[in-house]
Amino acid sequence: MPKQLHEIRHDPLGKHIRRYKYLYLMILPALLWLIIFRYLPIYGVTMAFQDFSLNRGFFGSPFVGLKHFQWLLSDPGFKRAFINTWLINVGKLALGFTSTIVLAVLINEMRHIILKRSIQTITYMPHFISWVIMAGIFNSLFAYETGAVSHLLELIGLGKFDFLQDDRYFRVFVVVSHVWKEVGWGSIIYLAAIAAINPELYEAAWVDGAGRFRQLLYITLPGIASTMIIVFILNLGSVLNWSFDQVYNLYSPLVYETGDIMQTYIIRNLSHNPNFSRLAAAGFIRSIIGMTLLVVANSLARRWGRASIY
Amino acid sequence: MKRASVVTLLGVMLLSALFVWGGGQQPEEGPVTITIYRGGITIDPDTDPVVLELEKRLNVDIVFVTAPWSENRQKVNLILSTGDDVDIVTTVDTIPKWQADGVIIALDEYITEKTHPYIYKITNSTTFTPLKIDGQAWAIPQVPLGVAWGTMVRQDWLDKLGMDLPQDEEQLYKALKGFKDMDPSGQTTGFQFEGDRQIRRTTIPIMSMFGVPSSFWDQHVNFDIKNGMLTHICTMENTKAALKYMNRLYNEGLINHDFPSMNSFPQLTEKYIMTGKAGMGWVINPFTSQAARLKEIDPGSDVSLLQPFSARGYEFRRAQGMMVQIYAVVTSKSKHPEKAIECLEYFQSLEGRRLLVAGVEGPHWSSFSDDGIFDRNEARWEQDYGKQLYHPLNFYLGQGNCEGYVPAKDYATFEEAYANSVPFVPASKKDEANVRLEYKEGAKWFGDPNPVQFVLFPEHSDLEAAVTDAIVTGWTKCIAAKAGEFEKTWEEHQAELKRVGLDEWTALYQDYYDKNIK
Amino acid sequence: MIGRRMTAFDVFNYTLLILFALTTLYPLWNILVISISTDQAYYADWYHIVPKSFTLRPYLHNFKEIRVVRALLVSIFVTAAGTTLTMIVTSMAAFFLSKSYLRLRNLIFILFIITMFFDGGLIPLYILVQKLHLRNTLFALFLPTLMSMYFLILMKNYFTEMPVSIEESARIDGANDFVILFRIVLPSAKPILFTISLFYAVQFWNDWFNALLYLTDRKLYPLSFYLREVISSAITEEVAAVVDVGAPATIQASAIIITVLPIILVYPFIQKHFVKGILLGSTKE
Repeated sequence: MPKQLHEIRHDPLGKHIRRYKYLYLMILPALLWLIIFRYLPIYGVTMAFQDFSLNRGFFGSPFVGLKHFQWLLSDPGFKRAFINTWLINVGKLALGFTSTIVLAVLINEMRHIILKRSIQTITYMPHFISWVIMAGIFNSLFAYETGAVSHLLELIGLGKFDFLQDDRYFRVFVVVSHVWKEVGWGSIIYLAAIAAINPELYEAAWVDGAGRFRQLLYITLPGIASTMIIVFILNLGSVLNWSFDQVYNLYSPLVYETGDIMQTYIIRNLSHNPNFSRLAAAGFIRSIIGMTLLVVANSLARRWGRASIY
Repeated sequence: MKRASVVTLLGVMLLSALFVWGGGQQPEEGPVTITIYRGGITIDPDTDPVVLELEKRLNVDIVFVTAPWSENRQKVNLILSTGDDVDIVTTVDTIPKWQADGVIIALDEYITEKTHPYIYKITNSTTFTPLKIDGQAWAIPQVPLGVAWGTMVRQDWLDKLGMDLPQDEEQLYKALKGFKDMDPSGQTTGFQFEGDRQIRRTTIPIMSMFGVPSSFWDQHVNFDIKNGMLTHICTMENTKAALKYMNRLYNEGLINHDFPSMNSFPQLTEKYIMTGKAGMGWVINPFTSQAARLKEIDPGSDVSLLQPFSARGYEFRRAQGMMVQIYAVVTSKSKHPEKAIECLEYFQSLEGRRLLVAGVEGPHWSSFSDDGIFDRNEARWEQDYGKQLYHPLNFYLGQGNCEGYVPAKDYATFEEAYANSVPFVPASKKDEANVRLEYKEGAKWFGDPNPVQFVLFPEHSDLEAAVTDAIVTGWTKCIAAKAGEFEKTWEEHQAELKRVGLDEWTALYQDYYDKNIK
Repeated sequence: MIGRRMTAFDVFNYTLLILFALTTLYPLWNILVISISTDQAYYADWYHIVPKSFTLRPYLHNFKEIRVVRALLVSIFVTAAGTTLTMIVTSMAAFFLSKSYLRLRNLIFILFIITMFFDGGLIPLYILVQKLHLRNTLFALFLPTLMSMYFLILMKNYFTEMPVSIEESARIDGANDFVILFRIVLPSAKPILFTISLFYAVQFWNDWFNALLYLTDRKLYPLSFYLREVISSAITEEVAAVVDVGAPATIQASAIIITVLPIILVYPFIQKHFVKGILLGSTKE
């Protein structure tokens, strides 16, 4: 088909759809699923604006506008939790983003096939161990007095750190331990992206005399750049939703000050006052912020021109 | 190759689908269906002999809806808000909200003293009358027979050290220190401690010896009532002294340092007492459960219970309140409320309790004496239920450790009946099982009444949340304070309590007390 | 690339990665050791690094009931059916979304993205599933959570990056879009295809939440749900006080190993397809 046809913009809509009918057919199942399972139930977001009552349901509960939002935004505990959520999760985003790429690149550089495959498999194992279990292991490992890690750190002269119970170190511990746990699984997508780079580009570069480092800079990284950008933007959009399982299982009253995040705060609050509307409002706040972040990041990405979500 | 793998994939899918569907569909008909929601149930109502017998006697079809405990709250709320067909629900603390929401029914119109002696008496008892809303009963408290908690002590370790059971706090300290020093690797602690919300109960032994009337469950209603004046225990000087003592233990490694995040009792006991890394701990079922387990693991172990004593300069006080945690309610969407209530009453009758605790007459036991000793058919029991001492339904359908019977029919008030409750014990375990001993021992530490225990202020739940949070955080910080910083931490704790509104909260209860109890 | 010697960087790289891999291996090794420990050995050992005993009792405990075998089959079915269905739907959708000349594309895409942030919560979804009569069916285990926007976008991005020239030659020969997608584009997209399939399969295999919400019939519970119950009961006191099945930690550990094992076994087969993409007709853009 001659190229100009793709640029025909003055087709009326009906004709346009008929012209590309197969493609429109392709989107139909997904669209159908979306409407049924995501849009039909969407009236549930109104819970954040109601005083939801179990018996009266969505259509009987009174509308209270921004009451719950006002409560949340004026509650010092929630405000503190809000800040902690940001600090911890943005830290994870920054460290996680860089380390997954670094790990993918390093693994890719391995020549020994069996070792390469084994290391790849082993590094993603912690991803499958839930925080409920991992917290138990960490409690023993990082205990201030008796933990193996404490002994180790003392041996190399760094001294002991109370990672789990000291306000100063808890956040850092949460960020680093999360990245350690997820970096292996997170690097898989980049390994797949690297695998998709045309090998002839590497051959040509080799012939031109480019060493490994230059190949990395000029072929590998640009080759996975679009994946990097997409993953980053997507993660940015969900950044405020992270960390509940981890923090819930690792924290204690001693580190509420720096470690209490929005979801753990609300859950504790819920045990005294089962107010679903408040929970929904907190979730709504997270959603609005997440969406804003995604839109802004995406606009910047489009400006840059490399790749963007839409 | 590709075609083969696709065919195999489809074949696998088809086969497994057939297998599952083939065995799945069996429409049930006939007797009334009673659906019971309770978290944590893992037995299968279609095959369990006790359930089948229950169904026969009550002429119902019992269906369980359940969820793992960690997801319990979510599932309950989902079921109630979507009008699912559930008749009976067991819940922890949501009664006022559910009543206000119209999700549950008032029980009074269905019960009479003659037809429902247990439910009638318990909902009209002195202890539980504060639970009524608008003069009506909305929930049935599920009451264990007694408090089967105690401070277990490694008697064999004491013997090795040549010490007796501690009789004051200095002796306690020496014993704990001895326990710790026995292990050169430094991994052993003295007293195993829980943290987070559970700090309220793990501190009971020490609080009591310093004269603090602490509470098992409800820290927010933990008031000391003297001469009609209410003081919350967390401002008492006794509490300060107790926390200071615990802080001293902590700083010497005699309390496990990871206690703040240890909020799972089984994990804690598995980590410390069962591995022989702690010599003392406030535990449930010290003899029937913990000591027996410990004996299997370490045959040389020997367990005794700490006896109450006063710290010097103070006077021992028992913990207060009734150990009630769970309530049974009937939903407003239930199609057969009378039947549901009939079932609930049957679960508490003598016949019902025997079934739920000991199993089916005939296959599982042959005779029951009046004081609760029964002849168990060991072989059959082991086959059906392995090593479990009692049938799990005694716990779920009911009572949270009610391995016996409260003879409500035979006494005028619930309190009298409760005082004369009969624990059931299989004859073969009459001496080992020591259920009665555990209750007797537990009663030494627990059971002074708390007149405001069930008084709730749902409209002030945010205040309640803030106060409870402050107490838990404050106690944790005081106990874990670094050497020399206790005084400062205590002052900060008191300031925080004031800031979140403890005075306001106390005033609410003082008010209620003045109006209703005085 | 061909016949390179080991440089200093290589030595550093291998050392670093091996050390890192050892740290990530430790937790699972720890759990594995616990899962084959006898009760005695478990309680006597503090670190659980060197196996001091061997028993398969914790594993057998998990499998002693026939319904666990049934649960395994349920899990296999849900994972296979769910992954297959969603890969078909997702790849078609991603292909559509990658074509910028489709006028409705941006609008439809925004519809998808909005659902990433806003959803009605559990209650409306639950009511919907009820109304669709999907409760207590196997379909409820994979239909409500069939698509992930995250994976959809990753796939769409991959298609966008692929050179158009691949399709051009086929279009000239008169092939329609379905043929182009399934016969030409997807075979060249093996890395992303297998990666996303793996992600979805893992999700379906491990999901117990759908079972929690929509099933009351125990016969339909997937394996992941049984294992969740095992883990939950090991840390919940009400059950622990009543039930005595030996050291809960060993049973818990065996449950974890059972969950993780299939993924570790399947992964090497997927790794094979991470070969350099073979693109038809060398294309230089």
